[in-house]
Amino acid sequence: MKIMMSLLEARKNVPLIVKSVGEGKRDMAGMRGRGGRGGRGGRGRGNWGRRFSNMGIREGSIINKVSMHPFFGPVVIRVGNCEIAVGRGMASAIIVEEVNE
Amino acid sequence: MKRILLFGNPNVGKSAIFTRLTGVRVIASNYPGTTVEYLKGKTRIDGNDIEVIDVPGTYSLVPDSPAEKVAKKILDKSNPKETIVVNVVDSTNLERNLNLTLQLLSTKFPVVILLNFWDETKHKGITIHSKKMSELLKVPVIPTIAITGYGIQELRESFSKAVPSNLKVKKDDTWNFIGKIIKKVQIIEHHHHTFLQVLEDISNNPVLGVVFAGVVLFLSFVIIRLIGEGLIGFVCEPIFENLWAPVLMKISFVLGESSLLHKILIGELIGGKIDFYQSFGVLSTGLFIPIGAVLPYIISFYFVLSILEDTGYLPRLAVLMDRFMHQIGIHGMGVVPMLLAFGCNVPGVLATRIMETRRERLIAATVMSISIPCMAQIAMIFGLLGKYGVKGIAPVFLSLFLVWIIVGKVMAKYVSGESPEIFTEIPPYRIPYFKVLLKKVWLRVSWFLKEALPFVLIGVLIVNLFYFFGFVDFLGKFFGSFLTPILGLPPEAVAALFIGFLRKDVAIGMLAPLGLSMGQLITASVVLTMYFPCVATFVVLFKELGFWDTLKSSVIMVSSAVFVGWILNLIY
Repeated sequence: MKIMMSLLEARKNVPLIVKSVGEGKRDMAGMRGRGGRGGRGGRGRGNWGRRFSNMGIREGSIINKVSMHPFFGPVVIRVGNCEIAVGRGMASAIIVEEVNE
Repeated sequence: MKRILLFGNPNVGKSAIFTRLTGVRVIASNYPGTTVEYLKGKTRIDGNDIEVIDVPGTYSLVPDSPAEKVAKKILDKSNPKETIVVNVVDSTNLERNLNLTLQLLSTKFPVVILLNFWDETKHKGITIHSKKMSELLKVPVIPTIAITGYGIQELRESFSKAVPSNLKVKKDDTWNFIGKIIKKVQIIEHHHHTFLQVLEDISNNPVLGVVFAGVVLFLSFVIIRLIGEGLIGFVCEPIFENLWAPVLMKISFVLGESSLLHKILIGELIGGKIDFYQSFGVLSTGLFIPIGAVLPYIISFYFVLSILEDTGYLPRLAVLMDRFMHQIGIHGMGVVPMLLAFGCNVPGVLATRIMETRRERLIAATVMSISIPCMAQIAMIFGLLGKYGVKGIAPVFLSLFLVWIIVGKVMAKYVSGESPEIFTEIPPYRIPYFKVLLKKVWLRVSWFLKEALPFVLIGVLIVNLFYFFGFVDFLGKFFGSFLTPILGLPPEAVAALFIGFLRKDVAIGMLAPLGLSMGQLITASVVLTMYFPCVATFVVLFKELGFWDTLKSSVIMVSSAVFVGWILNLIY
C-alpha cells in the first residue's frame, strides 16, 4: 500500500512522487521557534508554489531526498540533475509518496 | 539588428558565453534605481558593432526577486525588431530550463537556443537531439561548450537566420508541453558518478560536509595570505622602496623638510628616510596604503572568493551554515554577503539584497558593519600587530567574532519582522572558466581602485592639514577627556577615530607612529573596526536601510564599540 507523507518523513535516496505542494501548512515561509520572533504567514502560497514549480517541484514530478541537515537544518532535494535546499517548514509542505519500481 | 540579450536560468554559463562573444571591453552597470548589476559589452558581426547584454539569471518572466524584475524590464525595453534573444540552456537540466524558453518563444523576439554544457551531457549519460528540438520549437538550437568555444561560430552564423518562433502554449499546459518535448528529444541512460559528483555527495553530507568546509576555508585563508604577502613582499614593497622612494627623496630635498607642502606630500622623514608606514604624506603613506599594502590583499581575496563562487561552493556553504546563521536571525544565504564584506563592506551591504525581508537585511548589514573588518583594515591590523604574532592578532578577531554573535543574537531577539527559510538551488560543481574568473576579479579590483584610492588620498591630506593647524590636538583633548579613561588610549589615538570615518585603513595607519603598547593597539583596532562604518559604507547603509534603520544601526555600533573598548581596556 502506498502512503502519503511529508518530505520530512520520507526516506532518503528513493524516488518519490510529489502529490501536492504547499497544502495545509500556514507558515511555509516562516521560521518559528529558536531565533527569536520568527515570522508567521509569509508571502502567500502562490509565490512559493510558483518558485517551487520553476525549480521543477510540482505535482507529479519525481524527486529524491538527498540529505537532511541536523538541528532542524535544511533539506536537500534532487530534481533531475539539479539540487535544491529548502528549510524544514517548506519541506513539510511538500507531500510525497514512494514510487515502487 | 542592434542588440543581443543573453537570457537564462542562474548558473547556466551565461557569463562564459558572454565572454566568448564580447572580449575585453566590458562595463558592469547597475540597473537604474536598483543594486542589481548586469554586464554590457560589444561584439562585431558582419562589420557592425552590436551591443551584448548579460541579463541577470531568471527562472521565469514572472519575476520573484529584484534580479528577475530587472531581467523582465530589460526585455520590455528592447525593440523586438532590433534585438535577438539568445536563450542559454543548461543541457543537463533541460526540463526545468525549458519553462523560461517557452515563455521567451511566446514573445515577439527572435530566439536562438544554446544547449550549453554539452560536454557534461556525455558524462551524465544524457543524449539530446538538437535538430529535432529545433524543428519542434521552430528556432535554431545550437549545442555549445562555452569554455572551449565549441558552437560559438555556429551561434554567430545563426543570427541572420533567427526569426520569432510564434509558438503559442497555454499557460496551464506549459509543463505538459515540456514533458512531450523532453520525451521526443532526450534519452537518459544510467552512468557512473564522476569525480566532481563524488565531491558533491561529500559536501552534501552533514558530517563530512563540515570537515570539507573546514578544509576549503582553511585552504582559502592560506592561499589569500600566500598571494597577498607574496605580492607585497616581492612586487609592491620593492617597487615603492627602490623606485618611488628615491623620487620622493628628491622632492623632499627640493621642498625643504619644514615646509607645509613637505608635511602634506611627504610627511615626516623617519631617521632621514621615508618610512611608507609612518611618514604619513599624501605621496608616501597615502599612496602606499591603498596600492602597496591593501591592493595585494584585495586581489588575492577576490581571486579566491571568485573561485569559490564559480565552482559552485558558496550555496553549499550556505546550506551547511543555515542553522548557525539562524542564531542571528538570518538564513544560510546570509553567509554570502558576510564573506563579501571581508573584501569591502560596501559590496557586502549591497549583497544583503539577496535576503528577502527588511529584518534580515537590517540585521545582516548592522552586524556586518560592526564586526567584519574589510581587507583594507585586516591588512593594516596585520601590519600593526603582526610583529606580536598570534598573541596580538587573535584577541582582535576573537573579540570581533564574539561581538558578531552577541549583537546578532540580541538583534534577532528584538528586531521585528520575518526570517524566512532558506530556498536555493545548489548548482553542480564545475571547473571555473578562467577568463570569466579573471574578468570578475578585475571588475572588483578596479572598483576598489576607483572608489577607495581618492578617499585614502583625501583622508591623508585632511589628517596632515589637521595636524599642521593643531586641530588634531584639539579633538584629542576634547574627546580624549572622557574617552581616554574608558579606552585607555592617548588623545592622538582618539583623534584617529575621526579619520576612521573617512577611511579605516588610514586611521589604523595613524596609530603606527604613536608607539602604543600591544594592549592599546588591540583595543584601538577593535574599537576602530566597530564604532562606525567608513563613509562609503555609511552611504550605502543609508541608501539600503533608510533613515531610521541607519540611525538604529549607528546607535548600536557606537554604544557597543565603547563598551567592548572598555572591557578590552580592563583586560589589558
